[in-house]
Amino acid sequence: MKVTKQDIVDVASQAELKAVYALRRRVMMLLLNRLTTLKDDLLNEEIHGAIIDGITVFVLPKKASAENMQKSLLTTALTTMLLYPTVHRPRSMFRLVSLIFWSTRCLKSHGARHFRHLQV
Amino acid sequence: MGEVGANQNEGWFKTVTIEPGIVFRYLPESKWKTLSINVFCQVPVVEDRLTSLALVPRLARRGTESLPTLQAMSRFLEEMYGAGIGADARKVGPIQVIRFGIDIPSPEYLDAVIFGKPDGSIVSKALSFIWDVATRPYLENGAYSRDTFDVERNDHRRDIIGMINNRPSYAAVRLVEELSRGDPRGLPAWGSLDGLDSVDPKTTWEIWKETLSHCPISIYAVGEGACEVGEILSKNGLEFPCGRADHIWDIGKELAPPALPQDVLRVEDCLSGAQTILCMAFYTGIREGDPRLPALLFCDGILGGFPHSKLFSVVREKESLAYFADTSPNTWRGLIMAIAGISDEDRSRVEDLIVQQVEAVRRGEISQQEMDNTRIGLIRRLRTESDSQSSLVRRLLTHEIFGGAPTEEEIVRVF
Repeated sequence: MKVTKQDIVDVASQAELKAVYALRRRVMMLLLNRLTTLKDDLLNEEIHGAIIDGITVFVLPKKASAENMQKSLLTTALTTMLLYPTVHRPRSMFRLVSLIFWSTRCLKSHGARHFRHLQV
Repeated sequence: MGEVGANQNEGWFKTVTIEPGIVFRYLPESKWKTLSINVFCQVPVVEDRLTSLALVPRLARRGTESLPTLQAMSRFLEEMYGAGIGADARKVGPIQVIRFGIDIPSPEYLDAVIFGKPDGSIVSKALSFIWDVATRPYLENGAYSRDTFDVERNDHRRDIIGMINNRPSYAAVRLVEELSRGDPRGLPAWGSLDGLDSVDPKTTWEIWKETLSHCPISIYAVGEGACEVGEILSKNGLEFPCGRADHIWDIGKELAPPALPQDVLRVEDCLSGAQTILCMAFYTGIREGDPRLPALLFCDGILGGFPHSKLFSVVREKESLAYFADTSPNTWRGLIMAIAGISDEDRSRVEDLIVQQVEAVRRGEISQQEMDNTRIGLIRRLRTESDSQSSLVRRLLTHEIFGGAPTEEEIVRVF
């Protein structure tokens, strides 16, 4: 028996969407790696963070003091810029560093929950 | 040929049972100029052992008891007229398959006047060498050498990261992994980065020794000289580091796929890259061994298997929404998996378009040209397989594990 158009229609009729997976585009996740490396040296506290596309920064600090956060993030940002100068344009880095100063001030005054998602 | 056990024909191949759990399949065809011998160890996936077993082929290639260094192995292969070895860990559906293979020139073409008289049978030497690679690796104090182990573990880590860099294939692997959440059979053959941190030379060897004792083993020989491999196996038998267990693992128990989620599962990961990869799984319930498998392959071809297919012509060409868009069947899970490289902002639009293409096939919107092109494409693709020793062996191994059509010609017949 040859496969007919009806056989194909029957298969398609049974086809049921079960899963949708998206591997979303992100240009940079280096900050997260740098933070992970540096957190033990600088903070002895738990911090998670990521720089994405050089535009959006997610920072999820837990327990860390604002000063230590700032110190860590700045070191990370500068190290990242030195290690990956072609990926991080100076303007992006300037905006990132500005964000870090601003966000740590936020942390001091409002606590961690208020700056989970910030646009640079 | 002195045969042990039942001898039967499966497709073009002949099958001989060497002992319980060990089969030899051979195809003495003269159309190739090489003899390809492959040993496949079929292992049910256990999460704790997956990564260790994925390392075994790498470690095996580094040296054997009689040829303890890479240099000694290379010299031996050179003396075997430039033979090539390969060893890897892969998955066939839910089964982890550890392969050790060697390709040598067909003995028929080794003219003693030109190449010199070989010292003993080249086939016999090749077989015992590849069996040594699989079962008698170079060890120090009952474990893999620590230096070699560390080097191979680091290389394996780099390779896994390298695989992640192939975004479309990584996305497909992640989708199957997510669909099998909680079931280790959905994990990739190479294991996990986390698992690499906990493996060590001694435990890895212990796991491999135990696996060799219990796993079903298939030995494939394709090319001229294949019959001689069978004769050697029948005459000499096979030696194992710890003998063979009375109870061989029944991989048939592992084949039922894990239950799929009731609702549509939605998962997102974020990685660096130039585009977003969208991967969608459509469940059809048609698996390897099902008589409707050719219809599934045809449906996959109409949807996205070729450049004339609906996904490519609509999503990519007409709507210009994708860098690539195609489908592939997963015959273990009974899925058609659609995959597209897109701009992130077009995600929901592309998702809708892909669903619309499935609905179009469901409504019977298939032109005669689509039918004809798909038929030609599928037949060409399947027949190309028969030109390659490795593709032929892969098809028969899949048949051995799942059942169904043993040769591509049986599928072609119904197209």
